Amino acid sequence: MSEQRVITPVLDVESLSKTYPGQRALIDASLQVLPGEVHALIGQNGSGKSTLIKTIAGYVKADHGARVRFNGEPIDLWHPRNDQRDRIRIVHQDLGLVPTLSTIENLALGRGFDTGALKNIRWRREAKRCQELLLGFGLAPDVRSPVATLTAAERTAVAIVRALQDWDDSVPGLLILDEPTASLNRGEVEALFREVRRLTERRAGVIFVSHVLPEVLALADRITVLRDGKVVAAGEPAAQHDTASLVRLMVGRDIGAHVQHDDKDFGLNTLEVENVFGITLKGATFKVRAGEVLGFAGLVGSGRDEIGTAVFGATPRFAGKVLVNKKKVFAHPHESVKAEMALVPADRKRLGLIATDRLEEHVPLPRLSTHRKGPKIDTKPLREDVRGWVEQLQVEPPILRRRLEKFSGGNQQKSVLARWLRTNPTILILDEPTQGVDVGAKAAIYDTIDEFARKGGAVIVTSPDPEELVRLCDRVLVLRGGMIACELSGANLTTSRIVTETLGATSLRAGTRVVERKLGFSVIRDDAPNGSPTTRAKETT
Amino acid sequence: MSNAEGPLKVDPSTGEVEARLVLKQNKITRRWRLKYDRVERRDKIDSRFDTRRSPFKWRKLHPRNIGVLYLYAATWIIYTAWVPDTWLTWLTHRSVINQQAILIVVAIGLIIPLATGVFDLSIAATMSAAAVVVSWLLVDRDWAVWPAIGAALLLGLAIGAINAFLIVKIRIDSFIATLGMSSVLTAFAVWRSGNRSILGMPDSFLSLTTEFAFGLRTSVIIAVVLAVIAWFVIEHTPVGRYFFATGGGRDAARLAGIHTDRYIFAAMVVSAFVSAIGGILLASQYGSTQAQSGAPYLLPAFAAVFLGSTQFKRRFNVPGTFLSVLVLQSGVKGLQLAGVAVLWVENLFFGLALIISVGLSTYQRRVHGGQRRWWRREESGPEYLLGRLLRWGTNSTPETREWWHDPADAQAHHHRPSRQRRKKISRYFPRRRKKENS
Repeated sequence: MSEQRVITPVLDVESLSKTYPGQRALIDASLQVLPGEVHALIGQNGSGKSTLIKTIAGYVKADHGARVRFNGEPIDLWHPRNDQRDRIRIVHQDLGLVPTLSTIENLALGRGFDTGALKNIRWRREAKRCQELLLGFGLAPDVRSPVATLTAAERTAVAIVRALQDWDDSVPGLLILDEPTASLNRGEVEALFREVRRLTERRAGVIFVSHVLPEVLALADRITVLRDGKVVAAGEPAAQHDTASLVRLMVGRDIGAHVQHDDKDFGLNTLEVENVFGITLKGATFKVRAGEVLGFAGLVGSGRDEIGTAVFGATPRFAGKVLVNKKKVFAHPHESVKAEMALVPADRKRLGLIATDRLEEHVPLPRLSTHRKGPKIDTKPLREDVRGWVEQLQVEPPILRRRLEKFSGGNQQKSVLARWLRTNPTILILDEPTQGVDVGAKAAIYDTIDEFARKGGAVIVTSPDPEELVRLCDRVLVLRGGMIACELSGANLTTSRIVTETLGATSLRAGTRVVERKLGFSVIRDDAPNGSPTTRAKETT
Repeated sequence: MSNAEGPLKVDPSTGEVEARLVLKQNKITRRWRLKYDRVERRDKIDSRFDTRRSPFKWRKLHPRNIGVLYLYAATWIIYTAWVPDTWLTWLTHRSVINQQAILIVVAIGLIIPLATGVFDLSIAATMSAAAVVVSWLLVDRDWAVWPAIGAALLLGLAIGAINAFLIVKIRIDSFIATLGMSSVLTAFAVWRSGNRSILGMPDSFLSLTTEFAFGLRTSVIIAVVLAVIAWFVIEHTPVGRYFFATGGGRDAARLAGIHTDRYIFAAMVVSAFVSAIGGILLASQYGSTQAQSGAPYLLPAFAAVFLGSTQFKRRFNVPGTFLSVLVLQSGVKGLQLAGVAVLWVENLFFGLALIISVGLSTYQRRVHGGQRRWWRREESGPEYLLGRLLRWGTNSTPETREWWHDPADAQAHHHRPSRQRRKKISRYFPRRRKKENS
């Protein structure tokens, strides 16, 4: 009963570490969220943001030694009988709704239905309640139709409403918003901000995760910045920062282009992609020359994760052409393989390999025609061939009969690379080549890519990690909202430039479509003084 | 036997072991083995790299590999003791082989769609339909033998094509599509046969499956020929690998440049075609055809293929299927000879075989898939066990200190181990004693 009023943080996390096999996702992170504040959490992809959130939400168990206090009391976030669980609400990036259920049913998932005398669901009353809740966001969707039929903004609103329903004000609670604004337009964002503000007036703490720095600056009271699993700025007041200073904190040391990139002499255009449209991709036009490594940067949903598969023909291509050595390639993986293309997909477990296959079956699969004896596979020379590739890429252990599911992530990735290099491609497309790969294997994969490009192969790399792009690429195209926003090469190719451009921190807000779009026309902006990429492309042809 | 050649160097601060992986080719078995040798790279020993084989030295003879053969031997021993007079005659085994010839044909047709990752539940109905068509054309329409057979085979191809169209183009789940198809085919067979037995097929048709030598019927030859062809295609040609790749992961196979849709199409057509062959053999062998005469082959075929998949290769394969059919039929035959409940024993046998074989394979994957067997785990190695017994050695000075050793830390946790458990824990993780005289 002291006179002095001390504010107890809603959530007080100290020395939180999380180690995954092969890497440390979080190192001694700390976070203090005060009641009634919006605490922004920002950082690049892979900086440990989502790990931190998952840990706080209780999905991931932190390493031993973390101290967590909730409203001043120490709690074990990861204990199944955690009575504070209801006080921490989270809106996931993918919203966590069941798409086949209606809004009413989704809202009732955790809390149960309002029932009548015979335990019958009082649908009309439920529907009215849902509609009232959603009207707070200025939305009036059909609450009885499946959530999958709603628009993205409506779905987001449903998820937020679900997290906020039955909010108890007696003790400060915690709301975590993981990139909630990704699919909202400006009016909806403002409605969301209003709701969040109303919540903070009720002394709740809010953790707000976003890639959109202007929004962060507009909403947040304090900002925590993560980089490489470490907290580089802990709870600094938002008023002290602007976008430039935040980008500097997120990127840290600025890695510029290697010297080797400048004096390279590229060959002719090997791959020409003209105006390709996909599910998220809205008109991509670019060229890759022999011996060149072209990188793609962008946020999730910017088309970066689709461009490799769309060019390869693995995901549908709604418009546009792909030409390899001036020859048009039909949109099917089989045709692409015939045209000497190769794709190392990002989803290695599902698309890159067949987990139950043995190494000796996996590596030669795309090209069995090399070792034939009549209709039969000539097993022994084929095995020797495979062994050569396995040894060249240092897949460990080089046991050919071992099933792929038993290899580590890095070795699986090496075996996927071996499989495609064995087909002797001219174009190699790598989607997030070092995802889930340990450090040693990473270096080996980088060397393999460099070697391939030096021998005159054309390479496309997509990656969420700007350092990787700077390390590997001669040229980087930044995707934003499904379109190529700018091209970076030479002295412009630095990590901070890539981050700035992917976030659109200068002028564009991700999610709002500011740029005019027409079929067959995509806006390419380049700040480089030596002309636009279109003119440069003309010079090379 | 230890993991390491020579003494291991253990870094006391981190618990890391200095070791090097060395590959040696074992001359006898030609299998790559790993041994830890000399100091070059600092690496924690990963027990997954330890490829010591199980204590059962001859892995090929392991019951998991050729359990069906052991079962076969067991049936021989049991029935020789039980019913020696009838079991030890050629007549018995001849009839087993003759009866199973058709089942083998059907099962072999089934292997291919299952390997490709699609179910074909319409095989039995396809058999009935083909049998009904061939006998109806011969008896009611007075067609010549070979055109009638050709028509039945064409029907098989058409059924396969429709199945494949439903699965590949309309994208119906294969289970549902073929289940519906089988009902449609049954309706067709009942309609065409008028729900009666079709009798009176010409001798030239019945003589197709007469005995040729040692009392064996011609259908045995056809079964063996089909089995050899299927074995060759599945194991030794690229097409077989593409089938298995499609079955292993449809999207992954597609991204590897395989026309997965075409292979699923081919698999469905092949299985329906082979089932049609089975139906024709059925009509010829028994001389009378009903609308449901193929139905009893559905479950045995699945049972044989799944039991076969636990043998030899741990995936669907022809020799395993072949042997499974032989063993299951022998078991049934023996029981029949012994006079045990003739009517229901066959269903019981095949049903149990299906459940047990599928259960075994998923159980193995679930329990042992990611882990080492206990005898291969490091903590079960002799040095560890001995260390535990003597409270001395590798395991007696643990580097990991658990939270309950630190009272200040324990408050963040909900419970403390029970007294008994604490005793047990402190036996294996003794508190460090303070150093004396220092």
